[in-house]
Amino acid sequence: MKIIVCVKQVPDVEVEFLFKPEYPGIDVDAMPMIVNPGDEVAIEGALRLKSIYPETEVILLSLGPSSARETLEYGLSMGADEAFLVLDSSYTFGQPFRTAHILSKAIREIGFDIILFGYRAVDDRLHFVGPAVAEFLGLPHITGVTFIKVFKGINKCEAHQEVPKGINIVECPYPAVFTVKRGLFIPRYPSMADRLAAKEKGVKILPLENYWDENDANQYPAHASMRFSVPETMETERKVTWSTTKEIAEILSKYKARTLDTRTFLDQGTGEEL
Amino acid sequence: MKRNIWVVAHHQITEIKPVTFELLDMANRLAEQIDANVNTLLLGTSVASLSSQLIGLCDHVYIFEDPLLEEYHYETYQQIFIKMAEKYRPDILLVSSILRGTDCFPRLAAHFNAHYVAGCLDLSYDPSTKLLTYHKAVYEGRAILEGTFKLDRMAVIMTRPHVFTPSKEKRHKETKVSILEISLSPIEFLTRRVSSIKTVHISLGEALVVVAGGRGMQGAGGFKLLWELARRLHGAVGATKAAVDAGWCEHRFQIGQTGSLISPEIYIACGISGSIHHLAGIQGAKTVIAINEDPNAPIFKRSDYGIVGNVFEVIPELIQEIDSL
Repeated sequence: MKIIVCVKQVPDVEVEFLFKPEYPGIDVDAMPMIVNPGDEVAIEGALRLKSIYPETEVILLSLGPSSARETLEYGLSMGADEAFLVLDSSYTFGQPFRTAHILSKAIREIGFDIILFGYRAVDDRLHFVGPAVAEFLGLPHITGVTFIKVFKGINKCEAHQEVPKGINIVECPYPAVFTVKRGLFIPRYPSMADRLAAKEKGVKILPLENYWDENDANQYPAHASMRFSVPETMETERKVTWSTTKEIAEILSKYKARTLDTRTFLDQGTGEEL
Repeated sequence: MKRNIWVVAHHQITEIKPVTFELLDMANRLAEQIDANVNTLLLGTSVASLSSQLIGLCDHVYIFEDPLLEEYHYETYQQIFIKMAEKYRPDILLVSSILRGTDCFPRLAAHFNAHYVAGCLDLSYDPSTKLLTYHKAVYEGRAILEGTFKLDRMAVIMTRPHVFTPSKEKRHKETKVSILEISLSPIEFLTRRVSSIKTVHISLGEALVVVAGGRGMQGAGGFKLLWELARRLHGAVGATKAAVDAGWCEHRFQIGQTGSLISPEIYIACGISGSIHHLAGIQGAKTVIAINEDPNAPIFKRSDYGIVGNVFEVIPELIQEIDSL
């Protein structure tokens, strides 16, 4: 079984945030870069499947500049078998169609049974590329899954899909695309020895021109402009009124629970890409 | 020619949900700038009677009823929206992200190579430049992106709930109601829901009140108190990254960083010091109430109301006060 995990290199906004108003909104060269936390979860998900089906190959795929090689090496050190980087020196923030187009073509070339994506990237927070790749490849997809089981003999997958009010258990045939949420997949932490071994394994470079022709851009939507700002509310302080529990209870009283409608159904399907 | 803005109505049983009125308000303001008709799409098994709640709020209500809609399935939605878009050619499709469909709408956009925006905070159109402008949070809420594009093709736009005003101002003298004229072909579903487990009554994004806990809650036991409080306020529980990493609360309740960015009416921060990452996640909150032992905790600088005290004393007291009201 071949599992392809698509990973993205993103700025580590937790460590520091170096804002700039021009595209892409941050000082890319100065910011520390990491593997997108959601994608790390997807790698973990793939490795868990590998631990159940040892003949599984976990293959990482990324699109990005040469620095994205480190991201892939990190994934290899977690235990992935192989890693491919479609080398693209131009930063791709805000061009999700282009990304989906390139990844789809590369995925088709590599071959696959299951394709995993992180639920969303910390930079554009879009949750687009996974479902778009499924559309471009004509595959079923299940979004926001926290657990995947594969029934190999009968060509079926079962996944736990997180929805706003609970969990759906959904099945589909594979090949299929999943976007993965953390749930049970807590990413493992590679040892120093693993990190060194990953460098040995190495990242294979795929040339961009095999997957993207500048004319391809014509069919896809494009931004006219992108500008960035720091949210006002991040900077404005509020004036706190020190209160008693009684005063707070009065403010909250209008939200006091109405009798909950017991007929409310479970919202099926995912919602809330917040 | 007039353009067309389509709003997907969100409803539950006999009620059009407030988020629909938010979308309609946005759509109506946009329609004035673009010169567009505002259409609302009501989907469900038996929803025709709900259309009365939309009179005066849009130009046209389209109803689509099908037994298949008893259960949400993205493949059904996919087919409905593809057929709808092919027939009615919407310029803008507005959907709230609390509506089911984060699995359907990105794929729909990919199908049509349409513009796609998720987590949209507002929309405006400039007739002189013919550009649509939107804002959305990026980099985990640390920055806001202002993007512009031409309406040269359909735009599928998913908005964050609670960011527009749910106005019911009747701006349309006449509202036509008709049936959406598409027919579904039998679908051979690839994905199939086997079963469901319901864990909460109200979701984090939908809740008007969010009660959140941080390191100060000291453990999963502390979070039980938060669930107690949330239950009384018809609210949801949220958590900081620290609390989630400690295993006190599931990751899907995380606010900020790799979690949700939320905009509730009331945000109650319990035992949360207020790291910049967490604050980025709650910047949309209208009223912030903080409970913390340390009067110098940064959270108080971002709060409207504050109680200095031990959460394990203050919260039970607060629950008692609410019960007695």
